[in-house]
Amino acid sequence: MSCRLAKFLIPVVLVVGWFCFVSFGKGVPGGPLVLYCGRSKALVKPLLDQFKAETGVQVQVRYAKTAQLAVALVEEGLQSRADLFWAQDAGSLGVLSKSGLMASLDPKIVDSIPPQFHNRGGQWVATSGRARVLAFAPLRVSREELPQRLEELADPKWKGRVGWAPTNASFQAAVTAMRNSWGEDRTKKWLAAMKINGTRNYAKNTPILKALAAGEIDLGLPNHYYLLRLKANDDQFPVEQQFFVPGDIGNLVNVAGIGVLKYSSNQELAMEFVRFLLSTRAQQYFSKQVFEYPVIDGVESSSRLVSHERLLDLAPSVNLDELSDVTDTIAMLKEVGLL
Amino acid sequence: MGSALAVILPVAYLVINAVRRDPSRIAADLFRYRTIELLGNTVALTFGVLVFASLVALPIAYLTTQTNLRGRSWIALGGVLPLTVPGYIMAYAILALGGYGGFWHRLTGQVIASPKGYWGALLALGMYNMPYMYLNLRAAFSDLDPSLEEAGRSLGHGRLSLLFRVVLPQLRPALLSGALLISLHVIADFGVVSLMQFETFSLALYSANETMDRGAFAVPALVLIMMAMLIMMADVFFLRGLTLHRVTAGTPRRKSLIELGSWSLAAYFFVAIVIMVGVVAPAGLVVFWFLQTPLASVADGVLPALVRSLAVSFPAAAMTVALAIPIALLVRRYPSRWSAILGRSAYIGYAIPSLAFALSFIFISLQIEQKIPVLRGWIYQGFVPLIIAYSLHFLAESIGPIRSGLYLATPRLEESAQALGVGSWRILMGVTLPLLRNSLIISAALVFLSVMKELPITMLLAPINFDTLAVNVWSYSEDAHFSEAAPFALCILLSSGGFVWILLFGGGKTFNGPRTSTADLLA
Repeated sequence: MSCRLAKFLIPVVLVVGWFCFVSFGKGVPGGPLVLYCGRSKALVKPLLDQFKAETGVQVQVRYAKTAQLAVALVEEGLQSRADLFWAQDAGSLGVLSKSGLMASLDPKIVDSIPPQFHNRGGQWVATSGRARVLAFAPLRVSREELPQRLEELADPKWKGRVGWAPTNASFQAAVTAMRNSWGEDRTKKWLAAMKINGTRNYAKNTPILKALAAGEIDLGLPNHYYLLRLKANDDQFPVEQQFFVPGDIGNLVNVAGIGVLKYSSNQELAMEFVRFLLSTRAQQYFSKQVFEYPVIDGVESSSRLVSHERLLDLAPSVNLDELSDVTDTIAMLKEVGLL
Repeated sequence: MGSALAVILPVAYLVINAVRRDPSRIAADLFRYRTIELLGNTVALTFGVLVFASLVALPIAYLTTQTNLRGRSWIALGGVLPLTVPGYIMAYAILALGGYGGFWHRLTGQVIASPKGYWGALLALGMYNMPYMYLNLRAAFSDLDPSLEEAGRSLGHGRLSLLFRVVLPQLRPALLSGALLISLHVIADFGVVSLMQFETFSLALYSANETMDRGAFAVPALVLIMMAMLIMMADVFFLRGLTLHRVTAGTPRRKSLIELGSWSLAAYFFVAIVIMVGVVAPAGLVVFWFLQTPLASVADGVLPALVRSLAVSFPAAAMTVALAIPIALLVRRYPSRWSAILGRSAYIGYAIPSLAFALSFIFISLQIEQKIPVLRGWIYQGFVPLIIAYSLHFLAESIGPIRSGLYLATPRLEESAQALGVGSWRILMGVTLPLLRNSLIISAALVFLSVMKELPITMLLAPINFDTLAVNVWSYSEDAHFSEAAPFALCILLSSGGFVWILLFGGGKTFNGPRTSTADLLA
């Protein structure tokens, strides 16, 4: 018994010991960068490989949900070992910069992109744009019939025909933008009217598009790139999408963004990584491979996307810092009974 | 005792965070009609899943233990395999049966609706939780004393009446321990119910987390824990005063297997449907994803991820069992109010939503590092603390089988050894543990399979760059990169499936009367 036990225990102890060893020695200046990443690995990994090839710097990653990472970073405070936080949405970056956990970025980085794509304090920059759009099933709704403004979706004409994703952070960011642009009362009334109109709740963006294809709903409110990815795999996919009229809040361009942590011991190198993500090559990758909008001009983008100038024209003017007020948005969604 | 204490610490963390919060906001969050609606949905879903899991697991357990149906071990494998599938993958698989581009659409060209809402959630959760019920029932069925049934038959009861009046009452503890694990899973689930568009109280927990405010998060987490405690109280209530073991001298002999005859066809049909939905559908979906063109090749990442998954799953399983043995021994051999509380406290660790569990671990380990600077870099996001976190979280899964095993292992052997002057450590290693061999293996297997799938604890507490198979599957599929997620998902299914396979067909000697191999207990 004890001999067999030993045979089993020795390798276990060795493996455990080895992992203890390799997990030690974090936060060394000049050493590998530590990135807390709320973005999909599919998107991030090729870029990290490229960064390593260009600079020789290894980036170590912790992948998790953006909101979870934000809470963890707040809990870690000045004991954090993270150098960078790359978030799926503006809201969580806003929460961290308000908590005073973000360092100010090199002003040259901030000035290199349009003001729509960084926060006012210069603590974080967008890495790509993720537009809200109106998706529809052309078999059941013609392009001419489509509502011109987001607000018209509450019309009884669309009763039971619209789908959205109230638990999704992108949707919640859109509601935050609405509250800032329309005011609390108008937003709340609209949300309540949408609920009474039988708008269906989905878990996230892709299920909305699948429901459109399956005929459950005729209109949906997803982010723009999911359909483009589905179409890249199957160009027969029976869903189309378009923007509302220019400047309508329904065209909100939310962002994925990155910032450097204040207590990072590796700030210079971290800034270098931010610069890399804003380079033409990295931006082109966002556009061509994953169909997100580049945040700088002059990038050759995918033919499925509208041009940079056209996007800036369509997008409503929104202060990205204000998108961090997720708490009140969630309170409103709860009051209306959507959460 | 230390383990129970460490389970209580996260609760203390949550209470502190909740108390710090403005009471009027807590009231505004909780005391509204919506809460009742969501709690009602949770109760209805839990009840439905329990009924479903019992109705599926009972016949399979019966068929694989009491009848001479051919291919019983394969059917047993099919009854355990749904446990290797991550919950949200099961939901995707069931959704993909219908819908545009779904299974039926590709087969016939017609688009049909997928199971959704209450019934969809019930099917997905019921299917992937069913093995917990099955494993418990299977063990109980093999322990049934045939003399009771024979006595019933001699009193003129028919087969059906025997089933309801003699067999089922004896299965009560097994049904209850399966039900306890399953209901704790159901009340905490968000991944499956959200995909199925069914809203339960976990929605409150999830949306509180989206506010990125720890105080807001603590309140619904505590409500969930209270629900779990109610469930445990119900369990205690139903088990009170129950005595099932043989009280007179003698050993139950092996029961003869029932000839199914023409019923075998119906049995195969039933089993086929269960295996189609619970195993073939998710595996098929993952293979389908695998065949799509990926954005980038991820093949080079699969092997390291597998190594990481195994490197945490094995030690976590071993450590959990090591913690569970003394607790189960205490509960069973020295029953008292305190040992009962200790045994139950493990279920609290299981009921704490794993994100809350991870956050409290962050807090505690950073406090330790701050107080003892020498340990800096070793505690927070270290490998050993990660294993400890898993063990404390999954302790409940491993206590159950060991406790049932102890019901079977008569204390007389231990007493004889003691009378012969053998030391207590040697009795434990030489008598008790070998007697428990089968239970220990099942209990380790349950933890192993859970750690292979675990997400929030791994994501927040693992060393940096330590993305396991499960983290990869999640990170790719979350943003709809399914073909990249596929190799990792496939690897989880194959490695966990292979592990179950070894357990089933590995065999081995036992010291426990009629049983001959692990396959007998698990299968």
